[in-house]
Amino acid sequence: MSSTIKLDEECTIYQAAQLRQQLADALIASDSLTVDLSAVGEMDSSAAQVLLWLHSEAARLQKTLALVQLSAAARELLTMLGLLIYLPIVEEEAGHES
Amino acid sequence: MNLDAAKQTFLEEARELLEDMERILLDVEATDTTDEQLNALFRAMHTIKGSAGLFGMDEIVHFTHEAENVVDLLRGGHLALSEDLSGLLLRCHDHVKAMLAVVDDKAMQQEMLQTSLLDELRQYAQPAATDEPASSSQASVPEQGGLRDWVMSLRFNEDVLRNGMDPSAFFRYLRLLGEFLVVQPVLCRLPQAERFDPESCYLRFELLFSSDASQQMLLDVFEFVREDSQIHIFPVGEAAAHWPQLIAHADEAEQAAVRQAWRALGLDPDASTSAAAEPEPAAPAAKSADKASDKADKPATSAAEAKPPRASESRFIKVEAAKLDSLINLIGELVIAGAAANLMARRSAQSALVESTIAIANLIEQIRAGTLSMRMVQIGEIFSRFPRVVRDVSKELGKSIQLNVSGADTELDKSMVDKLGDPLMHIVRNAMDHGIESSEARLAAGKPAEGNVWLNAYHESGSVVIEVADDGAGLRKDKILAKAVANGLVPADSVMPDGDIYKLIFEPGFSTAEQVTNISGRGVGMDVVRRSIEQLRGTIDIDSAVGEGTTFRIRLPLTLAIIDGFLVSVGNATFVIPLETVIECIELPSDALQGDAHNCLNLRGEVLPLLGLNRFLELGQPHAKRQNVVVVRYGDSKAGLVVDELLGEFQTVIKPLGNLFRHLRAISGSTILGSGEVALILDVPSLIHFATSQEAERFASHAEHAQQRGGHGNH
Repeated sequence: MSSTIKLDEECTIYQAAQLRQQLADALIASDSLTVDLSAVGEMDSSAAQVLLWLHSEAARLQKTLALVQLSAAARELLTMLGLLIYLPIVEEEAGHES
Repeated sequence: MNLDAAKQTFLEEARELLEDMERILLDVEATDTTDEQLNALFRAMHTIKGSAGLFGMDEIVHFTHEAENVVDLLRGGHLALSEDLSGLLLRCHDHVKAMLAVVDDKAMQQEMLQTSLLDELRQYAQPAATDEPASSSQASVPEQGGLRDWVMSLRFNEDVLRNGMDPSAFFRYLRLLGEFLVVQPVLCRLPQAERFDPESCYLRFELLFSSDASQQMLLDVFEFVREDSQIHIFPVGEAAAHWPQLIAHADEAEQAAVRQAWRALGLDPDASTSAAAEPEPAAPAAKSADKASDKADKPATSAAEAKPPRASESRFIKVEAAKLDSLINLIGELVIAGAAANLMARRSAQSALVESTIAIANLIEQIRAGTLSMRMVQIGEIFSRFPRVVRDVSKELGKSIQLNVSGADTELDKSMVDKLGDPLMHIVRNAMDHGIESSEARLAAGKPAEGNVWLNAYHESGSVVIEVADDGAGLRKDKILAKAVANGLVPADSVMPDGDIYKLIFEPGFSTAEQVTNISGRGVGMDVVRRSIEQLRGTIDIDSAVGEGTTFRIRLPLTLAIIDGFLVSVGNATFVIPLETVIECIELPSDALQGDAHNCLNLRGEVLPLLGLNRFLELGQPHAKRQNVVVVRYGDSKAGLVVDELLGEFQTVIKPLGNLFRHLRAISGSTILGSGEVALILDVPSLIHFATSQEAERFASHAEHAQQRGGHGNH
């Protein structure tokens, strides 16, 4: 069973706790989770950290995780912090399969 | 988490830095500049720039950057702090202040960036920049010399996110200063599963950064987080030597991860072992050897100078004034409740109970004193504004005026300090504008061309005295009196003491356009000055001598909230006299009172006007067999208050009177006694005034027999 979750426009420290909960629940509920970052307009280190954590959680629980459709804001932040290569980012449209 | 609070801190800090900057700029006009002062100037601009960058206030960053460039040249000795330049920097100071005031209004800020100040700053920056290579290339290299590669090790504290700091914001700001070459995140601290707290920061970054900024400038970027995070920045060549420092707080897993990250950066952490063995110069390559040694003492000195302010920061806690107010209010209630408990204990006649209530009362007294002292601030806070004002106004007026400040460490209630600024400003401006003559007139009068204004503060018998003095022309009594008579303020043939004549300038609208020369304008707004002082339960007096100068003396109570009172009774009515005004108490000699409300007492050869409270306040109490006189003093005058019984000292929480009773002159407030009864607090200054003026009137009428008494008694 796979599912897709689309992040909200704002992903900052103010939403960090909620974001972690939302993603953790989604990860537990499915075997393969796709996170859609296309709507992210504002993102900070805390959100990046939640994604990093989610990635390690997915590995621990042996589930598949993919980050797709990075918005410009998300890409800029992750690039700046040098985190792109540490996250399971799937660039092409058909990201659901990975 | 709280961005607003962080921003508030920034604004507060910026304000303090700007104050420092202003103070230094005004100081250095008089004396030679020291490195320390120039460094402080630089730090002010630089820190504001850095912090503003964190909050995305690009306009402020832009402006302060230009100012910083110029100050940096000053610091490097490429520019001298001429009067012109310090004037320009003062204007820049004003501008930054104005920009900070409209921090939330982007459009306004944009607009404020269109200022000619920037061009002026660039003019200073440019010529120095061109002749620089010729003059001293060696000194300028570390300050602003070419690009260097830096190794940064950023291990943020777990709480930075909660404190409203986002590591990515530092990255964004760093991008303005240079270029990221490689960024290696170290993620091993990220906890697994449930132990992960999304509001904690677990990130560590090792990175290479290329910039022309100095090490201090780069470190300053992290000003806000440096204290509890481990931030290390070194030139690439020196980095390896500092390896042990970088991993001091790391466990083995983290050490391994950082080691790996360094390899990815092309650095060899293990070079440190060899580099640490031989002191230091071995590590850097030959071409940068002299730069590096230059650098080596630079950071040492700049780190040393960055330390002391940090230490002073942690010595103070900033508390919201409202919190302190409510605490003081509560302590006021505690004082009342304590007094009530004490009374009950005494009535119960249980000595153990009485003793413990006394112990409690002692503690309350200490808490009260401690809390009140927290509210006390040094008057220097207001005085510090004046050097600037005097400088500006004297330039404007074309007079040469020197300001002399003393007693700036005198402490005063915070709420009063806030309200004193404007009246004092008014008096000082007046002294400069109308008190001090032009240089020519001064020379003609045989005085030095440079005028003096003195600001002085000191404590005297439970009050704070603030003096504003000038050595100008002084007030002309005859002119004031003539004017007052013409305005119908006083009867034509009135005889008044000098002090009262001078006080006429406080009458509303006293000064008018046709007023001549040396007192012209002195009355403008002076009634407002007097009113604001009176609102603080203070008084203002004037001393003046023609040709020698004028002194305004403001006398204020120490605090507004709680006073030590002296409890007296007349019949069954209880009154509180502020203890600080009480000099002594004596028994009323039986032959002294002749059934008259006011009279005189021969107190060791001194005439002491008496005021019978029973009669004066129309209490209608039966005469007590024995009566006492409380001798009170305010300023230079004394009077005796005739009361029945002396009840002793009492801590009094002042409850202001309602609006209805505002006009009452003899009563300044009320308080609640331990028994729950209400006692009125006597307004000693106005009682003394009344007693002495009655006495003077009586004396005058005796002397001249039939003297018409006009509007005397109504004060």
